[in-house]
Amino acid sequence: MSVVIVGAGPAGASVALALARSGVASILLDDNPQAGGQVFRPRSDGRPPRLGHDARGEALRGALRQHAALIDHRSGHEVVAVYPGRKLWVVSPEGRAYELAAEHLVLAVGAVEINVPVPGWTLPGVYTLGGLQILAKASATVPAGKTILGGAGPLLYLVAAQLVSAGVEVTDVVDAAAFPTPGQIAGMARMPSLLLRGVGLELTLRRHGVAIHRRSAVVEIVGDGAVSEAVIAPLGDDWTPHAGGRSRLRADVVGMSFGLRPNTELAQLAGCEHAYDLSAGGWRVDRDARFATSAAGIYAVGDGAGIGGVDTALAEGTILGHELARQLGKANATLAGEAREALRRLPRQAAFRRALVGWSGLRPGVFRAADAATMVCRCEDVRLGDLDQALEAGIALPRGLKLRTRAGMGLCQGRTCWPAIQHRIAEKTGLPAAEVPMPTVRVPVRPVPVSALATLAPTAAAE
Amino acid sequence: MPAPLFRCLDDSSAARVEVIVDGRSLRLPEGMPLAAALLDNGISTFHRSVRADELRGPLCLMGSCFQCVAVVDGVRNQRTCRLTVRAGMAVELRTPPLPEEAA
Repeated sequence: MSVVIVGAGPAGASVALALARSGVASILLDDNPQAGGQVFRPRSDGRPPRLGHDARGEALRGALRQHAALIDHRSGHEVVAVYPGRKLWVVSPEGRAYELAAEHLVLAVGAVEINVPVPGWTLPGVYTLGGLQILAKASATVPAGKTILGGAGPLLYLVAAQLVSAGVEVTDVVDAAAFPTPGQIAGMARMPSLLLRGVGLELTLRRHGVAIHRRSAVVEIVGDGAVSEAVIAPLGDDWTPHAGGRSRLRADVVGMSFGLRPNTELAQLAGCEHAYDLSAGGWRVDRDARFATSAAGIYAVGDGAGIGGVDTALAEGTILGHELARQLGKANATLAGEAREALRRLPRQAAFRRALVGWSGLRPGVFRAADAATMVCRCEDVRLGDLDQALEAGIALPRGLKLRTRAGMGLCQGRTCWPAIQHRIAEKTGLPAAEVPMPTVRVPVRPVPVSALATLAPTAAAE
Repeated sequence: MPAPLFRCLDDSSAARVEVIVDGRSLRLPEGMPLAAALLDNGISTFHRSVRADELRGPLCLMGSCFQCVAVVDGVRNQRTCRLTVRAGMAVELRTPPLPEEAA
């Protein structure tokens, strides 16, 4: 009887801990050097992060160490494929590939950031908001020059406040969202501590003299081999950039991303059904009230199953861990109480999330910032004009588009550009974005050295 | 050389070790993510793009986007954000990230 958990962020680690407290062993695979996911990422040497410290991250890592007898935590192990029968291919940090079969498979794989390609976004000096945050957290590395941050959602304000507090010259925050409506504020007040935290972030920015532009976006980044300016434009209701009212701002570093979406790769490979759900970040794995997917023995929790934030991830992890332990006849009474309590908190967290998405959730007009020459797929150098040409020739499905243009076929397999492609297909064909089929996922989901593949069974390699 | 885009807030207590970057010897903090250590040293372009031949640098720093790839110890397409600095590493930047397999 084996339980394998993919992802040691708040959701996956909580599953492993709940199981361990019930006396159930698990294997916890994680591609990061330390547990905690992106949200609780420590310094690369394991010390608490210099910026954005959250005591819950240290508590989580401490608890995993305490339960090391029952939690086989494998850091730096990347899952590159899932096969029927809950078989995984894993690549170790040393580059060795191995197969792992799970009786119960928990996917807690987290989110990916949503990128909006604009002219100049391939210049060195442009990073995602999460990327800048990781540099600050794991390496205490922060921008040295004028910094402009753009996009939407809580991460924008969080990263901006963390960087200004560290002495970074953040001159402008460019938020695609408008100021939240009274109804949205009331919804976010369902989680008072989070709402207050948001207000606190905004006050920090104001105190440091950061200009906040709302209903605006960075629509072009200008420079020759390095960033020199960012062009910002006001946006319409669906976030389509206006032609007028633009301004050019001096910048050395631009941070930009437009919220999060669930990473669906492994659930897709496992054959799980998916649903399009804008309140969860777009395509997400379909699951029942007990977090079971449509594939037998496979469960999904945390942001990877639908963007819900860290509190929801922790709650879902505890609930699922308890539920699996119960199924295995190892229920723990203390944990049962905690799981009930976590379950009771979920509706409030969901109400908060709906209000948050109403305020800052991605609106497709912003993708119109790209022009024909804008690089959409960075791995294969596919421009928007290349996509349009293929779409005008009548190729619409992601698969045909990929074969024709190679968009999404490069090293990152479309993780970076997929939402831009999806929305371009929708725009050019008139299909609702929800009806654009999900992109196909190819095995392995990360490039694997040939030497590592050679160690795997030939039957698996043939698929 | 342009001013570095990043600075490190640490007076880093980590031991510095020699890493060869494009034949040049750099002393980088051992155990630090390689991408961050390179950015701290004023290096912002890591690879040359496949078709447009543009110089590109890291984007997501979390192993997802493959924009920070370089040749490390002779192995292509290594994500420098996922590697940590080790003594004697050899890094070649700005080579095209050729896919390892035919698609």
